[in-house]
Amino acid sequence: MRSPGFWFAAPVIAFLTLAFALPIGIVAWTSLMPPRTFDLSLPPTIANYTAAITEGYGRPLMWSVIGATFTTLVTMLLAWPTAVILHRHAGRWAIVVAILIALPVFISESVRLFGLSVFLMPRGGILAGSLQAVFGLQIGSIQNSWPGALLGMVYIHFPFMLFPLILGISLIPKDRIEAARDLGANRWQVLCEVELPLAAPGLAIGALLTFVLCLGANAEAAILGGRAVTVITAAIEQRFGYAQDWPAGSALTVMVIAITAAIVLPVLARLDFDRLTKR
Amino acid sequence: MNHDAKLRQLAARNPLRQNLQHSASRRRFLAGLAAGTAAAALPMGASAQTRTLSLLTWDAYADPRLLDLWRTQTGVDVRYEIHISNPSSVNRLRAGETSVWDFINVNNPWARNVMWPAGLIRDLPRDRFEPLYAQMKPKFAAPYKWAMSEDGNHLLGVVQRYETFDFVVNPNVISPDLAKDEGWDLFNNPDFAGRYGILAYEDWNVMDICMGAGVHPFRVKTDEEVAKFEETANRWIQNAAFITTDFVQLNQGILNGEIDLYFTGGTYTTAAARLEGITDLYAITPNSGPADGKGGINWIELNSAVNNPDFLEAAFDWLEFIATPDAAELVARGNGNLQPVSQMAQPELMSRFSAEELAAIQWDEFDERIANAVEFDIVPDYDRLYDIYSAAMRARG
Amino acid sequence: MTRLVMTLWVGALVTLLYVPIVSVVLASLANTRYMRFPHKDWTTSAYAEAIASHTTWQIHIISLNIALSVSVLAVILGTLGAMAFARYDWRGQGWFRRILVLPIFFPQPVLGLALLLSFTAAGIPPSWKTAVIAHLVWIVPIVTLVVSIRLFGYDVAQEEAASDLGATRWQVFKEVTLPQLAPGIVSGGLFAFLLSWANLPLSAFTSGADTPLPVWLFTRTATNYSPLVPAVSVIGTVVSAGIVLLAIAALALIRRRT
Repeated sequence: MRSPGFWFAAPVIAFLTLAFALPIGIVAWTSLMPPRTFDLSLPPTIANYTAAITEGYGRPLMWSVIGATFTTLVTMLLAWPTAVILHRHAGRWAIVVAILIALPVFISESVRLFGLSVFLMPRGGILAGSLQAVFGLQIGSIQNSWPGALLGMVYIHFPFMLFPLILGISLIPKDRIEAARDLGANRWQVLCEVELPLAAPGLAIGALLTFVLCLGANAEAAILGGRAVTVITAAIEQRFGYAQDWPAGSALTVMVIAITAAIVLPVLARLDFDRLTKR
Repeated sequence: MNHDAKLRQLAARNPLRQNLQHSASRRRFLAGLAAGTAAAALPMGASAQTRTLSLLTWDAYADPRLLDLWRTQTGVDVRYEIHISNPSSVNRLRAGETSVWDFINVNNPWARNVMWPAGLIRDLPRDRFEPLYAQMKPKFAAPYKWAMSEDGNHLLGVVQRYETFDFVVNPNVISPDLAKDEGWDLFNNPDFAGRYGILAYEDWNVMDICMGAGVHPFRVKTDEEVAKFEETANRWIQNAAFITTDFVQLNQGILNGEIDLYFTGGTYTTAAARLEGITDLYAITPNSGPADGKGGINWIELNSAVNNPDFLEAAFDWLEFIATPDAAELVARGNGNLQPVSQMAQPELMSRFSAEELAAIQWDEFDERIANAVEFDIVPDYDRLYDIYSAAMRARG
Repeated sequence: MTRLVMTLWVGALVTLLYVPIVSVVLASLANTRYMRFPHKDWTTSAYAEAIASHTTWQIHIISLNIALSVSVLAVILGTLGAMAFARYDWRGQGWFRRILVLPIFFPQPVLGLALLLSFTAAGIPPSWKTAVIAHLVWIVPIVTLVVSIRLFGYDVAQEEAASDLGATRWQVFKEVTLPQLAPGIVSGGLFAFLLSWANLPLSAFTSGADTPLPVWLFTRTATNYSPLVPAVSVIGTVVSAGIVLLAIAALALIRRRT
């Protein structure tokens, strides 16, 4: 008899086989077709992969990786104290604050970014307009710049870090922290030796989600960034869109998936959660 | 004769219609009447056309007043999705959505060069649709080149909205007369580096950059011309203050003083703002340029029937419907944005537009703009130029 | 003192999170497409237009159908998946963990197009139902990960004790495992609902002619913005928030009864 783990995995495996195997197969196969063709029965070629390497896609990829890394780190720094406060100190208010934080996420991303851009707009924007009307102050704006896009990424992805982190912090038994304190550990030692390892599953999964979603993010650079830089998803969309070049777009997609996997999977595999949480 | 066409005629002939059009209850009554007639006229087995007419369309055709008029006249239900760019909708049809949609409208080359050869749209019966072209501006006299397949044998759609689409300036900073004289060289002028934006309708950007490089966009290019294009593309994209697919952001940029001008733009991007009384936006078509001496480009919207395997006869009726004066008027004002339509040749239709509306679309110089423009054509070497353009985008920042 | 600092921190954070939302509400109260804040005229006419429009309700119903179906299915699949991801050690788990996260590595617009091609190949016409499948491909992995968090560091001894006391497998799962998982399941369900409700790139390719709310908002913003857009957004938020609050209240009620 197979282990229960297999049986629990079976429905998910069955679903992904039915619904995901075909799309990924189509993309992989299309990536081997000659550039700018729509016929899937042509002889395979690696032309799209060589073009992906030689045609300056490194820059967009670099911006995406920088943006994802930056956002993951910043959201982590913002979310950790918030999660600690909500879990340990907020008491009955925790659920209220959690709902308050979750509510904005129900507005679709493009609309929230639109709101942020209306707020940041120079002159007639809500911030600039109010400052001008109330204090007679004139200010600049970070709209249409890469920092503007980064602000949008942090804003959009904060909940993806926060909620896993709250779940992770809820795994830390209170008596462990007190025991460590009794043994003379200072705050820093408690954080590094007790809290971080015990909350690692939440931290790792929050970081994984944030990083991966930011790598694929496009709307922030488009709406708030004024295309100051081109991120990799925007470059891929250009291939599928105005270039009408599905094979090249597919090859870039395959490469992005491979690069994401190369960054994320080793980290995921190295984190032995059971060892971390049970010692 | 199919029953929808019959119904439409019944409804059209109804003497009550003109006077009582704006009464909701009467409208419902008429719809009910129409439905009742349909049931009576087609006793059995005639319910083949129960599918909803589905439009993949520009926003103007999603105006609720237009859809209500159609429902009242025909009793056929209709639904829509607004599309945001020619290529994204073409991709959806390519990927199999021909089974979903009945109607699509795109700019002329996308229909003729991409959708027709790929079998995504069907041709229209010429005897039924060519008479519509007689109701339009003389330049559209049938057979109108851009409504036909490349071999000239198939009619691919009904032309409706059209205009020149070049660039937009803040007339308080750059006088329109100066802008028309300078033309595309404005963007070559170092004084405006960092003072302009780009509306990323990317096939248009490619043509504009050709103009700025002094190259005829619709002729085959020499290597030297491609080199000029590359230099201009890199410079223009580097020097842009910002690039976006949302023209509202560009207009806001001009209003906020962030930029003084942007390409690509025209009546389509400025009319709603000008109608609101904003005077800081002015659509410019250059007086001259490298395309046979012209510097402007004129797009023509082609309304086509999707090659849906489950073809709905109502798709043809819809194509006929949008060309009627009442419908054309609604399209021209679609959802509050103003856009000239080919049927404005009819004085009766023209008389329905107010002086403010005509000022918003700069109607007094419209014929001049059209005369100074070449028609949106297929760009030879497009693939090569687009790759240069998109590489310049990737290198930005 | 520290209490004050903590309150200030959380207060500031929540305030900042609401800045864009308040901006959207303010934009919806203008009567012009080209806003210059502060408005000259404040009006709710965009809301009147939105409420009178048939489309407003249609896109909400479609989005609700999709998001509710996705939430239910994703919670079921994700909870089962989480047991395999983190509760049990089994042969093949390493591969399971790797393959499970692959869908979220996919840039969404490409995944949407590839799914549309797959539905076409399978002869399934795109509609809101295919959008449910498309959302699930992307959301089930995320829900699985979120639910899994509670299973790391999970004390297996409790289950064994229950078994020793004669509980059946199902009873053990229901009485011991599920309560431990509950916070993760609630979070997972919430994630599923909001990721589906707000999704644009997958829906744009897979919902056929059943236009959901985010697609309508995006296309209308991109081609013909007017204050109607923020007004419909605000209505959409109120509707979705109302549904989630109802769900949370219902859960709390059930918990109190049992």
